[in-house]
Amino acid sequence: MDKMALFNGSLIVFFIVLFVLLIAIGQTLRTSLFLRRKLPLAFCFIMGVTMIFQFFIPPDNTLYKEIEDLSTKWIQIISSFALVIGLISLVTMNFNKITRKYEDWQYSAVLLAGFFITVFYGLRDGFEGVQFDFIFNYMYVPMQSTMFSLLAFFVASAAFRAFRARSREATLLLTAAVIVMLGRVELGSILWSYIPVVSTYFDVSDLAQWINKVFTTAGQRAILLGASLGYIAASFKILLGIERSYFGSEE
Amino acid sequence: MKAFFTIINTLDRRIIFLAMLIAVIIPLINPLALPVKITPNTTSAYNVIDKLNPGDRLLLSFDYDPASSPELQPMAKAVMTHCFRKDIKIIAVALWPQGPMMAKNAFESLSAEPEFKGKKYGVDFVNLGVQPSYVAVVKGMGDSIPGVFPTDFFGNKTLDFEIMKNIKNYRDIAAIFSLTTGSAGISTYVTIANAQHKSIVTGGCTAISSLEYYPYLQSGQLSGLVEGLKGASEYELKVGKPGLATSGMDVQAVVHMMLIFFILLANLSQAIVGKAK
Amino acid sequence: MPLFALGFSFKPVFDAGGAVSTEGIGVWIAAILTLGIYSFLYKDNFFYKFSEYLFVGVSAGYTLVLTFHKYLKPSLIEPLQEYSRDFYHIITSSAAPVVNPWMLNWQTQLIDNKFGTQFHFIFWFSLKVFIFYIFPAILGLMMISRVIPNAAWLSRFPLATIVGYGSGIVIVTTLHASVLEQIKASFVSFAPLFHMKGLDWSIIAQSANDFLLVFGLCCAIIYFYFSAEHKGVILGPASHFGIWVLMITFGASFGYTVMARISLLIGRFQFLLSDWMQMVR
Repeated sequence: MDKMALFNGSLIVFFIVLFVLLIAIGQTLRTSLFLRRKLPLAFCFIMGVTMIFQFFIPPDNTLYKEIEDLSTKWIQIISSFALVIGLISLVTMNFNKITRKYEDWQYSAVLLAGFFITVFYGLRDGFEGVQFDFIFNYMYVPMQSTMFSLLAFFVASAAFRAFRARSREATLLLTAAVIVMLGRVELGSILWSYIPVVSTYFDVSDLAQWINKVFTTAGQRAILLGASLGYIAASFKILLGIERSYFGSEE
Repeated sequence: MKAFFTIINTLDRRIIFLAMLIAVIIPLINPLALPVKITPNTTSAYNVIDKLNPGDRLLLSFDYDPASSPELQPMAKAVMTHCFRKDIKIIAVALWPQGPMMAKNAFESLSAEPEFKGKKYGVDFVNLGVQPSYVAVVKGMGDSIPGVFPTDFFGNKTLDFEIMKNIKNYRDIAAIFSLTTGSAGISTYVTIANAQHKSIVTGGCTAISSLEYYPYLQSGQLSGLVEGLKGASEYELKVGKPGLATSGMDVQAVVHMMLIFFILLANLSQAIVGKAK
Repeated sequence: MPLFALGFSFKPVFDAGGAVSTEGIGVWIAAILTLGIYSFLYKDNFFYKFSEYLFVGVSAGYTLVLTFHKYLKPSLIEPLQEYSRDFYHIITSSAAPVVNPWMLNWQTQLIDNKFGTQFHFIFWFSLKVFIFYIFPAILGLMMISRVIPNAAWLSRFPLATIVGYGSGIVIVTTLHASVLEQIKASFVSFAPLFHMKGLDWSIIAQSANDFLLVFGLCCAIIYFYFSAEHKGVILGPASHFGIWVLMITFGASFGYTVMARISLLIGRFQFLLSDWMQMVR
């Protein structure tokens, strides 16, 4: 037990030293074009080509397993660190807001209080803690779902204001929307049954399903094909170093 | 008459908000108990699970957060009820950070019911939690599920659970059911688990994204789809346990009617006032 | 008081025994926060801002807890602990059991004196731990260096790794599942039409639907094809029909969007009316 604590301590020290060292290296070598541009692009290319290559190895092969295992671990670890950046900037930004007494700084205090209380109970008890559960179920859940449910009101108001049959295309859009909305609820079928002749042949829900099965599937597939090809082209551009906006603004 | 439509044309949006509020509250207090018609997509998703054998493992992926819980939480519970009754073991994973908490809540509320008193964590259900980078997770599970999730959500070793005995990767999983909102979820499982490993992928999603998956349904890459609150209510009826989704469908019907009425009214008023100008 | 006359009572904060109930307090807090956010519909105000900032704080807190407990601990810290503990046990030839399978393999090799020597072991151990854990951790730390202005460029290495990984996977999987499989599924068969006995309306309807699907798809793709002007006998009408197909698609999508948004609202009111006001059972 004692040794474990010692180990954990030295691990933390090790990472801090490593970080300081990295920053020092970063500061001294920041003018090197090779390190700034070429090496990261090489990283990206090698990683991408390995992943493509990996699809052509049979899954029972040891090489496949090693690549899969290693790449998954790498991405998981790097992504975990990536999450921390957002948190650091959020906390420092709100901390500055409080110390400099910017407008609405009181709310930043609320934000930080919420943050630190959650972190305290969460880190102490893990996900089984009573307090953490309380925070999640009675604060996080209602707040998030209420935020998103506000959109219902705005969708209603948008439907009222903007959904006008101004042209043939707009009429088609509106008709499809109305049929789908009618077809998905039972009240729609009840109303539909009052329409003579037509209602004896098919129900509005069948009509809505037919629209989805034929036209929407066709339209969505066209969009999917277009988007996928675009996605693939963009990925090639990234691998080949043509597209490097992820580098940041200066390049 | 024209004055009336001019008022309609320049209606304050808060009045629409108020109308929405009333349309939601009244059917909740006085339920209409409208019937729900079961659609083929829900039936095929139901059949995927219904055809599994007792003891089979289902990978239930909780790819949503509290924002979508009114639609997906009842769905999750209905699917879990179905599995537990058929003695299908559930391995819960998540691609969304908040997913494991939703899984935890769903299991806690189900295992508190007298019908599922005997269902044990680690034997009938396990919550493996979440890992970052969903593409890496879905891809990595094709090689090794315990490799991607070394511990469960609460920090216990994954391999120690009875439910994980002899479970290596997708080949040992009978089917995948993803509860999806947003981009991570069904499409990730279809493009990786189904395309590469030939796993049976089915799922449920919020109504907002369900049409995106229709091309996959038609091509058979996705077997069945439970769509939104309506799908959830259909699934609840299929397992014979109407719950929150079924009672919510009454409200949905009334609000839809109101919105359609509003759209027609707005168009009418524009036609009349517009002509007069 | 008139509300109570309607026949409902709010969730009690105290349970039957008179003690404070956690659930009761929780439901009240949740209800107040919910109403606070809804007050935004009237106009922006203190209650809304309070809830909004609190939400961001709690949600960031959740992310940090998750990152530590679920991401970094099992995938970096615990493996490092396990490896080091096993390493220590093997090196000191202690009786404590070695847990890691890879290390166990080494231990048996060392004991059997097969082809492993102490030097080999230490070399392979260091390499394995470095490649699997230390190197990605260095990349992760480089990511964090983004907050320090002059060293921010270091974050390009981890970003390049993630982006390269994603691109490599996307190219193959998307091409397979979302392009080739989708095109394959668009080759519908009209064979049943020629083999049916008499007039089988279900087959005719199915074939007509299939034809419409493929025709609609082709027209919509033509509409997306911008390398030629949408004019002439074929491209003109086809792209026009393509617009119609897309308009129907967007209309249906709008219908579904409305549905989804309302569902969320229903969920909140189910909470307010049944859990908090205990009006609906």
